[in-house]
Amino acid sequence: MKLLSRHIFIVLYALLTISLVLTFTGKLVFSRTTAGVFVGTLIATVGATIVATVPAYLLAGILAGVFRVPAWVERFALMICYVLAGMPSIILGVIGFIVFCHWLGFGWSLLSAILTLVLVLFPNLIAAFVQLLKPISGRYQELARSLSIGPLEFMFRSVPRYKAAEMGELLIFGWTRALGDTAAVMLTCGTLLDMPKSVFDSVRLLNYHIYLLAMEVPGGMREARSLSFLVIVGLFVLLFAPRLIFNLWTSARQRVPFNTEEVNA
Amino acid sequence: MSTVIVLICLVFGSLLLIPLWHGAEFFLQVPALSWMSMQWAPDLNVYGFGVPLIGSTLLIVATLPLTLALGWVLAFQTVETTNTNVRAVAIALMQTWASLPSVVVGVWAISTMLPAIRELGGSGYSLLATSIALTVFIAPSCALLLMQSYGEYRAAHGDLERALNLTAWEKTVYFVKGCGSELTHIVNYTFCRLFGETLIVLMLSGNMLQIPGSPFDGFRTLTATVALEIAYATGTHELALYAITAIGTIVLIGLLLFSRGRRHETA
Amino acid sequence: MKSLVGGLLVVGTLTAVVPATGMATEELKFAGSTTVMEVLEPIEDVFKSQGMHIQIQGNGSSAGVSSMRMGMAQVAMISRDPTPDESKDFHIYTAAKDIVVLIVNSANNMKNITSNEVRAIYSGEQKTWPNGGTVRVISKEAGRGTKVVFDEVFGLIGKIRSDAAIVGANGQTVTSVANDRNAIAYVSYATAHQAVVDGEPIRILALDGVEPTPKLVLNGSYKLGRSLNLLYKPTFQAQMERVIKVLQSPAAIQGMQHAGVVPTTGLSTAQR
Repeated sequence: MKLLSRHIFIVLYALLTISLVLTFTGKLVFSRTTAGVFVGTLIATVGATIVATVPAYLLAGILAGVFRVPAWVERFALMICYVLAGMPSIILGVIGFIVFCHWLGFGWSLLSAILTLVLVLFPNLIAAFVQLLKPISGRYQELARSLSIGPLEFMFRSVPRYKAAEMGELLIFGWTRALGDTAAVMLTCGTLLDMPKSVFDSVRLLNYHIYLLAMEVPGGMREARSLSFLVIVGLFVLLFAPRLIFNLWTSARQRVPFNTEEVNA
Repeated sequence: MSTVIVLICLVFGSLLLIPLWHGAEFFLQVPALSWMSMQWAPDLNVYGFGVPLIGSTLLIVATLPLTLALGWVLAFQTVETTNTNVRAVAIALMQTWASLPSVVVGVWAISTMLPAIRELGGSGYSLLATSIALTVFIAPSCALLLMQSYGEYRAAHGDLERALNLTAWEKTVYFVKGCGSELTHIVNYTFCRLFGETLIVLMLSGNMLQIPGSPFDGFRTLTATVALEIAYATGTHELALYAITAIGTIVLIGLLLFSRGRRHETA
Repeated sequence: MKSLVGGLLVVGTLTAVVPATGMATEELKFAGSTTVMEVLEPIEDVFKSQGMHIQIQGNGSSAGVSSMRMGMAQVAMISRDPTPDESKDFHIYTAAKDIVVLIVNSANNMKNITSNEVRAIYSGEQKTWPNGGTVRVISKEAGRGTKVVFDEVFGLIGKIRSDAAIVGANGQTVTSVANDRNAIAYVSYATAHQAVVDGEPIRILALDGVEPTPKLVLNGSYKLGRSLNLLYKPTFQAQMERVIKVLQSPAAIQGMQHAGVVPTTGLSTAQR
């Protein structure tokens, strides 16, 4: 009972997730789904996260006050970041379609999708990195300055080393946004179901596939439900398993708790 | 360093000019009386932005506080818990929710939530339904960010909190006072996410071209209009949709400038 | 970590550059309406057996036309009638007709609906069902082929009640009607038929006593139908004649009928 009152909203989300899973249970059908859908989704979302990370990290450095820049530069960066965040993703899709598919001549391809997804998850990553950098920038930077560590070295050597776990979490956070977006990829990645052979190939990404099945394909609802079920359970396992293993591993290693929080608890 | 940043921003900024450019074309073509009206009827060549603009505003006014509150409670409970397994489950749950394709959440809400709300009155497609679904969908993203912020805060001030034996409410107040500027980022970010979210709104708002009289009425937002009609729009209709995006961008910039200005005053 | 990222980038660019240089295979690209995509995708094999390679991209009618204008695709698939501009610039081939049907929840005991009733319900004159429930009207977004046809046939252009829910996608429309005993909506026949087969609690209504079946659309006794068109630039006439020949072959016709639409054999641009 005590557990319940303390974690009431976490329990609420657990219940919501169960309700979500129950909505999509039923006979599993995968007649129209190919391996290419999953491979393409993985390449596009992970690729976009990798491409977006460095510029987003730099901008976050500005917004968190690690770099000293003129005020107008900071304001400009902030504005771009928020306007991107508030842009309906269908418009980002249209932009990606015009610029990457047409002007740059990539056509409907994983590459266009990756570049468009960069637009989508860029503000996400910035918001996340700011949360990481802001609290530590003041405290650590005094020390860094006295050790004559420059801001670039601070951001690209010290922070990744000491905040590796948090950075991992934040990259996952950025990745989740890329994974959840439908509208941006429907115009840029195309709808072919074959296995992509290079980043210039078009492939239907998982979220658009589910969207098409649920919304447009006659009689596709059952398969959309099966895929949704798979996605929810799969994602949860994927995101939960490493943490559980880590917890078990640390609790096995640390018989004597030296963490003050655990002592106090 | 400034140059690099300005270059990055210019690259992204120039991409954003495309919808603004098309939007400007629309404003030059169509007289102001037409687009300032309250009637949106592309069939009749009438493009009034009033109704969607009000719809978007109402949705955000209703949803932003809910999302921030739920996000904060989730983050607080996750950071405060001493049970590492509960924390692992909580984070995994939130990340799962943050990464769900929005169509999945939409279908779930249509088949579980709409029938329940229909019992209370109206068609089910309503401000209430959209607001709840959007809160449930965006709060985890918000919570993951707050968790980062509050985790760092607690690493620095946790001992003090314990020494003072603060209640949850007092901790919240101190945190908000202490980390104001990070929180502004999160609030603005959540605001932008709510504003830009399309698919869930599209699926649950009913997209009715009316100003909702009660929480049980359907409504229409700016972004949903774009997403709904862009697949079939041609000519002026298509330009009008870009113009909607331009209006959205301008409103967004205006609000952010306002929130920034206010912050400087208090600082 | 850095070297890993670097390695990935290098591998990525290499795989990217190699096939890009040799990408000149002749292939016809179709782009546009997802409805037409669903019809054409199952008969891709028929094209293959005729030695033609087609690539079908579904991203919405208007995006299809703009991608053809940009030269990214050779054929645009649209599930609405072409605009005056489009019929001036491009050749048009009507590949099939899609039937639009009115659906209600199966708890509603109505089996037939008259045109006048449809008009009254959608314009807001009739607000309750005969059994007393409030009618919940579901319509479609402006510009969609289905809505244009619907509005024209029933004379409802600009008159649809403002509190009608606008649901674009066929799948969501079916889900909504299946969950609401008082709802009425119109969707394409293929979607509705498949949903009934799958056991969704919806019923297809007869319009003015005519059961919607594929045959009755061709001879004009069932009014609600939209055309699924292929648009192409005049320069692609030669390739398109081969495509049309394949589309009119028995195997393709059977495939299209199986997808729930009515193939329009012999109906060329001039006769439309």
